[in-house]
Amino acid sequence: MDITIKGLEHSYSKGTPFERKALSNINLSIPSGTFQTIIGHTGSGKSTLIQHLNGLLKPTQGSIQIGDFKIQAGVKEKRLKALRKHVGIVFQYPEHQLFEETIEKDILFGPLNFGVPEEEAKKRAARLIQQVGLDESYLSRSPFDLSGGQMRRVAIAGVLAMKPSILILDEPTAGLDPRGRREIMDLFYRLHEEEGLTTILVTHSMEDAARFSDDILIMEKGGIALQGGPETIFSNPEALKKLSLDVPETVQFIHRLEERFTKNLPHSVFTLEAAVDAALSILQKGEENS
Amino acid sequence: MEELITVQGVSFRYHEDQPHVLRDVSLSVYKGEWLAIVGHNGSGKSTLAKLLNGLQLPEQGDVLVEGYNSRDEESIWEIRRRVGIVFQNPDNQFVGTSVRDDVAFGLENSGMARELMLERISESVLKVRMEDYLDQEPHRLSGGQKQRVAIAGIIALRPSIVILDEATSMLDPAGRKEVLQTMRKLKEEEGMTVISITHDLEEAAQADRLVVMNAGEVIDEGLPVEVFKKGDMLEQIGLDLPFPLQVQRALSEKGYDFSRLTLSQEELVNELWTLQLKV
Ligand SMILES: Nc1ncnc2c1ncn2[C@@H]1O[C@H](COP(=O)(O)OP(=O)(O)OP(=O)(O)O)[C@@H](O)[C@H]1O
Ligand SMILES: Nc1ncnc2c1ncn2[C@@H]1O[C@H](COP(=O)(O)OP(=O)(O)OP(=O)(O)O)[C@@H](O)[C@H]1O
Ligand SMILES: [Mg+2]
Ligand SMILES: [Mg+2]
Repeated sequence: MDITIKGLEHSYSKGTPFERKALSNINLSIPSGTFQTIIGHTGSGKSTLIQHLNGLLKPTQGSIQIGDFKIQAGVKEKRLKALRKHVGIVFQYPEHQLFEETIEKDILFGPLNFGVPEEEAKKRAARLIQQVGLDESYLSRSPFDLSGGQMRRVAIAGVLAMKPSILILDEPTAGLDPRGRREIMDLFYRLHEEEGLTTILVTHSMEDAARFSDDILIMEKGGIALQGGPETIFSNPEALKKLSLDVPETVQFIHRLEERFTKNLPHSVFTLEAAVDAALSILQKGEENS
Repeated sequence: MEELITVQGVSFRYHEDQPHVLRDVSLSVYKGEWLAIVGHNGSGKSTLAKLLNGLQLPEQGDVLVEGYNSRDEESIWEIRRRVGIVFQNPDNQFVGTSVRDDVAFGLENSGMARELMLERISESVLKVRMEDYLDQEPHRLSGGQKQRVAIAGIIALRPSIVILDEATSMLDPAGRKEVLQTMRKLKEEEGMTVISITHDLEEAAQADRLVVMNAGEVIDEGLPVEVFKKGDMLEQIGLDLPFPLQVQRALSEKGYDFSRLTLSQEELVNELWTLQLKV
């Protein structure tokens, strides 16, 4: 399903003394199957934007078209439940989406609600709990007696269990340990490729943004500051710093190498392997010359 | 060095019918240090934090904060006054209906004069750059703004020990650097002691000392550069090395010998320079 956002504005508590405009005039189109990443400083409007995509927040101006669903300011969309079957959101704070008395019930909630037979739903739960790095013994535990990272994993399993075609991830790796971070990003990317998902990732990890995205959107003060592929976006460190962002560690490393060795190196270096290769190319040149 | 916190042989579990989540943990925290605690999800870091300020009590062993034992009922308030925790989920920490009230709450409890209180509020809110949000309800802030306010609430109290439980995990790169810088300044200027629970290895690398937890136990402790020598062990328990060390390790495997381990990119590039001169 293609996503088209036109002239989107959102003001919280509209018409009250507490009114606060969080988004203004957002125009954006996300073709089906895209890995779209959204970055931007604290409070720039990322979470507000993505919560419009399943109707949790309503536009105060403008419209959002998702496949043949249309969400429009001032118009009631009657098929929100059908839309939510397609659009799964992992929230920034996982506590906000855990509520059942056991972890299994929590993971089953979405699928059962959308008519998946219980047996099939249970199979999904048993598979997913392992895919997010916990063992099956967790299923009977309470989701509230968990560590922060464990809660995050359960919340992710619950959203994946619905098999959404649009997967929205609001800082899904915050609070995960280094291995969990790697494994869970790999899991998202595998699902993205294998199931042809549209993935929308909000992140403060420039490394993840660089590695996985087809397109990166930078938000600033409720609007769009920059948009482009990883190579374009991360080719301008100065612009990023002005927006409270940065280039990935690998790119920082390349810049430092260039400066120290006064050499030109390829800039789109987004993996450890590529960074190591760049260092090797410099060391080996040294060997040739000697 | 003055020992502020002593944890002696502490074991803990949340329910009697569940396994222990801390097992025979012993640990010292020294005045004025920046101590980072790393460990996989569920290894017991947040639980340990709660024991350090008396929110939970040990089943076995003792927690002493400046001599006060958390088992003594009269000591609890002395301990809480000294140890401030910025919780992993800031929503669990907010009590006020505005940012101002929320920061004021802890100060009111300490019986502070109103003048001083107002000064403290604006000062700490300014430190985390949330001065434009004083009237906003804390629950109606963005994820990163909540973390900033939670930090302000604790630094306003000027506890001698601050525990940051992944307190900057939702901040943008510049915001994270800035907040950590602010904390470092408080440490340098006011002698505050910082315990930082983190999954950010770059941050851990900058600590004075590092504690590694695994499955409820402290399995290693020392200078970051010493602990990070054990790359294989760290990987086995779900952790990793900071980026400069990952690069160094990959190059060592290709036969390049480094004279020392580098925790920052700057040091790494200098080492590469030396290496290149040698070949
Ligand atoms: N429920 C709410 N009521 C009123 N204002 C809100 C609410 N939620 C967010 N805001 C405000 O809207 C703006 C955008 O917030 P949003 O949560 O979208 O930011 P964000 O880009 O996700 O930030 P972060 O990286 O910190 O999560 C912020 O200034 C915030 O204070
Ligand atoms: N309220 C609770 N009741 C029962 N068990 C709990 C509770 N809170 C945490 N646990 C369990 O205790 C263990 C340690 O949890 P803790 O929160 O201390 O881990 P952590 O190291 O902080 O992990 P994370 O990196 O995910 O935050 C975990 O196995 C967790 O499931
Ligand atoms: Mg957000
Ligand atoms: Mg924790």
